[in-house]
Amino acid sequence: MDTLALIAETWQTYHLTLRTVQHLEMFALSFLITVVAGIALGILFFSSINIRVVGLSTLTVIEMIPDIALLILLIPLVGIGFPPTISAAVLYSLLPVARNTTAGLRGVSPDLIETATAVGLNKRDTLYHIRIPLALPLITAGVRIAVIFCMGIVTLGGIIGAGGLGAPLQTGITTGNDLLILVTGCWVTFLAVGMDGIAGGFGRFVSVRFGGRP
Amino acid sequence: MGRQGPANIRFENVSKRYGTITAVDHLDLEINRGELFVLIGPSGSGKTTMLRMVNRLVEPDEGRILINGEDITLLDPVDLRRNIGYVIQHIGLFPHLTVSGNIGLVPTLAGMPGGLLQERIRNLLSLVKLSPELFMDRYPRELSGGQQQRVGLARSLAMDPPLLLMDEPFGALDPVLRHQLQQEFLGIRKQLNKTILFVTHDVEEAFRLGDRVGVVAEGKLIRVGTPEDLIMNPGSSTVASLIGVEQKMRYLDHLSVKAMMIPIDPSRILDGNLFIDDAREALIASRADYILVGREGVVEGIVYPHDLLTAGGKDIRLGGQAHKLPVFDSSTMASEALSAMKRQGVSIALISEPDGTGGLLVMDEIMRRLL
Repeated sequence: MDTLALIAETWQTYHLTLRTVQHLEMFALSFLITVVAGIALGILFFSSINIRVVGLSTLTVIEMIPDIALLILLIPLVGIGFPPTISAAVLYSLLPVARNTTAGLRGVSPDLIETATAVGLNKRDTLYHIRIPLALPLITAGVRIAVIFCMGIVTLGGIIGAGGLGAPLQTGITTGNDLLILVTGCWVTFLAVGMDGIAGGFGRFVSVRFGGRP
Repeated sequence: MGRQGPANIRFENVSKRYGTITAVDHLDLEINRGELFVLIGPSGSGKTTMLRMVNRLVEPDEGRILINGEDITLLDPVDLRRNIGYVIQHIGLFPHLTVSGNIGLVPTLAGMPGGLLQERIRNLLSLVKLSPELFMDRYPRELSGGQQQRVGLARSLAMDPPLLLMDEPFGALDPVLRHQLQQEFLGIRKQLNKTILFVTHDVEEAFRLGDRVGVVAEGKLIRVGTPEDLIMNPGSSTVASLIGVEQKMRYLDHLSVKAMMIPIDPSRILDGNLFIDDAREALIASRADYILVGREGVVEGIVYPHDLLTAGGKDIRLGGQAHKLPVFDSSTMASEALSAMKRQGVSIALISEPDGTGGLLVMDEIMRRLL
């Protein structure tokens, strides 16, 4: 009983409800931007091989920068706290979404594309009505990776004053409050696993609906 | 292409080369309105390339293709393709769309109103013998191969095109199902009134379906004719070996009795009022094994030698001894006529043409021609 009371007290003292709301806000914003921009980039990369080579190389280089370094590097550009955290989360998570989108669009069976052409679909109709729907399982797989990436970076953002659940973790580390670290750490992990589970469930639905896999 | 009934296709000196390989070599061919024309040849002979040039999936290097007199390179390819139904062996149903979605995709893009489209989808499914209620909302993965092929056919008809291209549409099906779909397709085709260009490597299929058959080898169209024409007069050893005409018996199902008709020699028809003694002499003189009885060139019956020998009395007339002959319409299939003759125990039958003329169908002669 003492343990539960202790956890509740820690939760209260460090405003973990408020931190969770902040955390999920940052996650939602960065995730949304990532998905929209990532799919748009993926379609752009699909349409032009030159843009694809340059774009995917750039995103891969960004991916190679350690996440903490990326956060720090962004501070002189966009300031401290919220903006660099969102920017870093998006930059970091774009690659899996954009790359999977491009791969999905390119991977649609040539037979189906030829059939689409033969029955009288132009390039645009083929993209919207055939390629994008059939690429959705792969796009969703990329989005699922982006969920984990965004969660991770948003947590890290606490170090540079972005708030969210990274903030109490940082407090715990600097004040040596092991219980706070444990409670926050478990809670963040639980949230991440939950989000991943939702993304996974959605992915399975999309695979059945658009991938032709029963 | 417009909506003026079935289309007419003309290939004018069309060639297509891939590197050093000539896939289509100076093709000249006219396919008539409403005709089902079958291109047959071994794989790699160029027949599929010929078909794919019609909807511009392949562009010729040389020559031109006209549909209803219009050079197809002057038409917008998307419009052209929406007016040409396309059915292929691997079907190519879109896995993420339901049966309705597959059939309705192009009509929707072309702006067909929803209510009209729904009705059209229902009619097309009924046409291909799939219950609209049961199948409209199913996904392709929930259908058997035969059902998928039916949906493929329905989809190709969605825009009511004046022309259908079919590339081995039944090739992936097992023989029993293939035969069944071929029969159904022949039935559907009668209701459709469309020009159909059909590609196959299956000789039986070509003869079963085609109004005319074109034999393709090494990019060249080496022979065009009706199935009957090709079986009876292959013309070259290439055609003969491709079709396998040394076993013409296989094609009894595809040959009409007309192909085996023997013209009647009017001098062989004796008047029924003749006395049998005179007839007997005539028979012996002619060394024939039967006498045709009739008047003014119209055969009314047949008399065999033993009829004359067993008939007693001097004043018996020939007409009284005559047997009736079975009569077949000239379009009757040979196999059907032969089994009817076998049932009746006769070896000679009459063939009547629609114009009133006719000829004889003699079993021995059929054997001689087919073997």
